[in-house]
Parts: sequence; structure tokens; C-alpha cells
Amino acid sequence: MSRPLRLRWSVILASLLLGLAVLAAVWPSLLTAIDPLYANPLESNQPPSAQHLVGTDLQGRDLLARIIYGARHSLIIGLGAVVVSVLAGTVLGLLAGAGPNWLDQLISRAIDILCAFPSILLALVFIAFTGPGVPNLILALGLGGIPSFARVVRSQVQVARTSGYVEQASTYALPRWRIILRHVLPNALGPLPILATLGLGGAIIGSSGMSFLGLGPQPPTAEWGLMLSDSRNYLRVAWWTGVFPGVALTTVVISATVVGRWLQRRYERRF
Amino acid sequence: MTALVSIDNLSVSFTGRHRVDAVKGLSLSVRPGQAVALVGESGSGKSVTARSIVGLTGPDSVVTADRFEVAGRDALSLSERQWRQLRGGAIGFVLQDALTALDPLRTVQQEISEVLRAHKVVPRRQIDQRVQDLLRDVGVDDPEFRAKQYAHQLSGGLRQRALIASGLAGQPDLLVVDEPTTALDVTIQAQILALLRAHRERGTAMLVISHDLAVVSQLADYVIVMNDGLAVEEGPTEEVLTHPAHPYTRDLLSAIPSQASRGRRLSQGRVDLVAAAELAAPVRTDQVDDPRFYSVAADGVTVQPVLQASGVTKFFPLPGGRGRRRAVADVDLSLFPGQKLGIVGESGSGKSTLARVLLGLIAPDQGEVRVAGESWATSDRAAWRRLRRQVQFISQDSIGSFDPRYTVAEIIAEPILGQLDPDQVQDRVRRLLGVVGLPERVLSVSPRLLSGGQAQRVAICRALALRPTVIICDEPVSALDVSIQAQVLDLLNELNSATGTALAFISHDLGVVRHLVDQVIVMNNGFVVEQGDVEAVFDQPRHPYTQSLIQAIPQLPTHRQGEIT
Repeated sequence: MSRPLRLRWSVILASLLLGLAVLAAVWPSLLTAIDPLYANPLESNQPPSAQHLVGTDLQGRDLLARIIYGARHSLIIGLGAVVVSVLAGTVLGLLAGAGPNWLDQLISRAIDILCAFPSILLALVFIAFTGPGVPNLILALGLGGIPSFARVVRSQVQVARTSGYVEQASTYALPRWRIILRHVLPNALGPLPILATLGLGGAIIGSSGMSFLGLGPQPPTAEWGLMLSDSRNYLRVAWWTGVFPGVALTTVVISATVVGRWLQRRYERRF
Repeated sequence: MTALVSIDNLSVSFTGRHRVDAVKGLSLSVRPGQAVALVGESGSGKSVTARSIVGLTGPDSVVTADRFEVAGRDALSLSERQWRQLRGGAIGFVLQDALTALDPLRTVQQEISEVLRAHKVVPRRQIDQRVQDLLRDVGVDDPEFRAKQYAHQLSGGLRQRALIASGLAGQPDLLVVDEPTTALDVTIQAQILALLRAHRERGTAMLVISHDLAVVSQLADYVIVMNDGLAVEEGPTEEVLTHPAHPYTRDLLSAIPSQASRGRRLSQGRVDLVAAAELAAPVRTDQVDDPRFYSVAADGVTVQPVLQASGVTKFFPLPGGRGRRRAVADVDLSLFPGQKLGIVGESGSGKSTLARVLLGLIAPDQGEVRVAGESWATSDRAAWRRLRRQVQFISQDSIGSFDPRYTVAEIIAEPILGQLDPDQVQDRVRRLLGVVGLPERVLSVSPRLLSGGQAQRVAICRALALRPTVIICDEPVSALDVSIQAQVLDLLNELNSATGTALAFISHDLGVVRHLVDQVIVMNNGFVVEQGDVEAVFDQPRHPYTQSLIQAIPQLPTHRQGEIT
């Protein structure tokens, strides 16, 4: 029996920050009463003060409110992309791992090709064909994450397929598909939640990157990548317009990674 | 002469989160030319004792003793540097697992010459020559070629020889060997034992660690029986094995399956035969009107075999497309209701492949297997499913045969799920568990937390759940301690007689087979070389291979004489 892993303060802190981001995404009005779209040209590029805790942007909108409301887009796009990657990766990995050899060859080579392109380039090409917008961005970013999930699922399926318990299950006259659903798939999916959590950080960075390039949600939507993009010409006069959205983005990404790593260590300790 | 090892009141503890007292006050001495054996089951502290003598108990350990002298030095005050001088020099150490004890990235030559260099046994120029001499000495043919090979290119027997050669390289006064023949085939085991005996006669003192009393009786002249960190009995080997004084030794000896133990129980405890018959008996095989099992003709009733192989041949492709190898060659066998059939052979003899063919998991390339008269090759899905449920399987690695996400209750219930309603399934699982002698609290436990013996009982329980006519067991007891093995063998034996479920029992352990089965087939290189009644095959083996196999079984003095006094 393994010792229970000690819950370190960094993991607790990361979980709390991630929880805060989720709360901001689900119910932003709970955290701020200010409308993120309300512009007051008289208060353009105001530094942090008691009234505007982290200042205002060029249009005189409250930056904190925009960061809080912006969490929704970053998280939805990041999560959506991971869900797309996990679903497509699981299906492809399962088909490759449990299907006939020719199918395995076909899928594995297709994944190799997909893997040969940097995911951000892949997303750019996808957006170029389909046009900007949130659903397209989710698909575009999800596409690049498929290979890693598909490969993990494929190898896990192969391990489970040749295991003693699958051999044993086939002596009960269970149909093949039921063995795959009951024994192979659940055992193959073990490491996926960890990979997904680790992938979430990358997907959020990806989504901000695409928004920064103007390929995601369009202005005046509050979105972290968009806010960074808006701020870049005024950094010298209004540093807060770039630093605070950047801090929010970095915090969420690091928190997701810390929690993901912790889950991974806990999973590996099982054996 | 002074003793090479002289220990009084040795205690070894491990301080982790839980303190474990592995050895609790053991005294022993090994004099030059003497071979002392430490025997006991897993957890008895025998390996820890051996490791303490070479200073390898690890950083978490606390070693205390009133006196602890190794090769004339006070072992408690030795520095790591001094230990290194001693190990491989005055003391040779042969580790338990020959595959992991040899570095996979180094050749046998590099492995052995390191010892020679470290202890400056011979001048540098003569090292290569000495390595080859050592290998020839331990019975390796063509040492020049073998020295250039890596561990994974060697068979188990050769690996063990190479390891012994490196243990002997430093010309030690004392050789510590931990389970020298475990996991080796019986003929290889006999060769390794002869080799170690020869070195003993040349004057090398030995400390032998083993769970196998028969092996010990071949090698040691003094034996210490350990249980739970304590020596429960010690004395000259012949004396201890023929007149055991301590109840633990007596139990250990009577738990060993052999010719002498045939027909008697090896362990305490008893199976509820009535419940077993009611729960697990195959669907009424004693009814004469069932044509699957009996055929009625004018001259009487003939019993049909429940499992029959005719001309079964299976090929496996060789790696790299270099043709194919015949794993099973033209095997015929019949297993009748309620019978116990042993399938014996050494590793690579094709017995596990045969098991998978009999189970219908792989199709034979030639010949066919019939279960209660019906062939696995049937195209009728319903008939195939019926066959499937009649033949069940118990594997050596039963923990690996349990889905790690399941609880014990779910594991046992799985085969019968959907055939009965859920309440009946639960009830049946509970009662089956009682039959194999497990408490109900294991039902909610994850299989990874079971001990080896418990896991094997759960596997038996699951195999019985479908009321099979045949259970195929592939080495079901080879990973278990003697006393646990005794319990599992008794269980299988009694379930067989209570339910009439036929057993096909695959094993490399001839003692186990001799104890348990009625009929036996002997396999070598995929062929059946001999088959018949177990008495006939073991007492008058006709085929030279069977003769050499039976010759190689290490005999306990008690078995030579018949009964334990």
C-alpha cells in the first residue's frame, strides 16, 4: 500500500486559484459589480486606484471587471479545445489500439502527420479556412491536441488488451465489444484526466495567442488575449493594461499545470 | 579453525513509516568447509539475514548484535569502503534473481572481470583467461563465446551459472547464495546443485538461503529453520528433516507435496463438500441420458471425455520472418469427467500454449479440441458460447487476471452476471466465497490488496462460478509459499472430488503433480513424450526424457524413507 501523497500548499493554492477562475467564468457578477463594457473616455488609461483597483484601459473601461469577465472566454475555449482533443483522441486511439492492423497503420500514420505540424500553425491554417469565432477556435486548437491523447490511449489499450484480465474475461463468453467497453476502455482511460488537466494550460495559452492575433472573439468582448493585444501600443504609458491580464493568464496556466502534475504523481503512486 | 561468520543475537529492523523487525535475535556460525542453510517462507527474515552478512541491508535498516564477525572482522564497525573490500573478495554473494542481478548493458566478460580487477585477483593480462576458466569451471560450454554475450541472450540456467562464476571470481572463503535454483527447470536445478556441491567439496564454505527444503537437503549439512525473524529449529540437515522437533518444521515438511503425500491432506482446514457440490457441480454429469457425456449402446454405457484434443499442432512465427517454430506438435489427450490430468514439462515445452489451445483462446493450426463432444471450431455461436462456459481458467498470475478497477465481489460475479438476477448473483458470490474459505469482508476489497493465497482462492471461486466441467490451471501454485501452496492444492483436490469438475493441471513441479493428479502427460519441445497413469509414469518412466526429469527431482530424506517420524 502506498502512502497518501502529502497535499502541499502549492497544490492547495493552485486549486483555489483555479476555483476562483472557474467562479469568475461561471458567475462573474458575483466578483464585480462593474460592467466590463461600460466605457468612460474621461477615465482613459487611469492607473490603479481605489475606484479602479487595477486601473482602466484606453477606452476607460474597468480593467478588473474585464479580467474577471474575460476568464469565461479563456476557460471555455481552453476547456472546449481539450474536450475536442480528448474525444477525438480517445476514439482514434481506441480504433488504432483495438482495431485490425491496417486501421492501426492508417490512424497511426495520420497522427504522425498531424504531429509534424506545430499546433499553433495548424490552428492558424484551420482558422484561415473557416474564419474566426469561438466555435472555430475551439476546433482549431483541439485539432493540435489530438495526437498526444490518441497515442496515449492507443498504447494503454494495447496494454489492457494483452492483460490477464482481458484473457480471463474472454473465457466467460462475453462478446468482444463488451470486453472492450467493460475492461479495455476504462483501464486505458486512467491517465487521461491528468493529461487533460496538463493540456488545459497549453490550450488556454493557445486560445489567448489566437485572440491576440485577432482570430478569436472580436472586440469589444473582454478576453485576455485581446486585452493583451490592445495594450501593446500603450505599455509605456499604461503598463497595467498589459501586466494584469498577463498575470491572470499566467496564474491560471501555472495553476492548471500544478494541479495536473499533482494528479499525475498521485496516479503513478498507485503502482 | 575459526568461524568465517560468527553471529550472536542478530537483530535487523527497518525504520520506515512502520517499523518492521525482520530478524529478531538470530545466532549462527559458518565454519570453513561447512554449508549452512537458512530455510523459511517469505517474510521469515532469511534473505535479510543473508544481506546483513554482506552489509547490504540498506540505509533504512538498523543492525544490532552481541557479536557479528565476518571473515574475522567486526562487521558492525565496518565502513562502506571496508565492506566493498570484503564483498566479492572474502565473501562471494549470488543474488536471488539472475536476470536483474546482471547488468543488461554489460557482457558476462565485463561483469566477471570487474570483480577480478577490483580485488586484483590476477594480473591484468590474465583477466580474460581467468574469466573463461571461471565460466568453464561452472559448467558453461564454449566460454569464449558466452563471455561476449549479454544477460538477455542467455538462458536461465546459463545466467545463474554466470552469476555463480562472478560470485566465485574473488576466490571467496564463503559463498552466500540466495535462492540459487528458484525459477529454474528441474534438470537445470539438478546441474546447479551439483555445481555448488562440487565447490563445497573443494572447501568453499556456503550459506544457502532457500524456501525449498528438498534443495537444502541436497546442499547443506546444517540447517536453520526460520519463521517470523526467529530460528525455530536448527541442527544437522538429516536430523532436522527426518526428526523435526518443532511443530513449525513439522508443518512445513508435511506441506510438501510428493509421492508420499498422495491421498493425504497437506494443510489444516476443510472444505464444505456439500455446499461445494451444490454450488459448483457441473450441470449433472452423472445423468446417463445426457448424450454430451455418455453414450448408450447395446453393450453398455461409455463415458465421453469432457475435453479431448486430437492431433493438435500449433506453430508460432519466428521473429524476423525466419520461418516458424512448432510450439505444440500433434498432441492427443482425453480428460474424463471428474478426472485430474497433469501436464508437465520444462519451460519452452509448449505446455502453456497447449493450455491456451485447450481453452479455445487460440485456434490450433492442425487438429481439433472437443469439449463434451463439441469442437471449438464450431460455427454455431450459441454452441460456442455453451462450450466457452464449460471450460474455465486459473492462471499463475491471478492478480494480473483481475481487472484492477473491480472489487473482489465484482470479479467473482462477472461470469454469472446477466444469467441470474442481481440478488441471486450476490447470494451465489457470497456462498462461493465461503466454499473457498475466504471471509466475507474481502468482497469489497480491491484485488491488488490480496495476498498470493487469497488471490488464488478468488480465482478458484470465479472459475467455479459458471459450474464448468473442466478447469484448466496453468501453474496455479508456483508463486506461492509451501504452506499456502498446500492449502490451495488441498482446496483444488477437495473441490474436484466434491463437484466432479475435471482438472487439467499444468505444472513444472513434479512433486505437486505426483501429489495431485490421476493421469499425466509429459511434454518436451511441443511433443507428448509419455502419458499414462501418474503412478506408472513416475515409477517406471519409459522415455529417456521422462527418466532424466524424474531423476532430477531433489529428494527429501523423509521421502526416501517414506514417512515422517
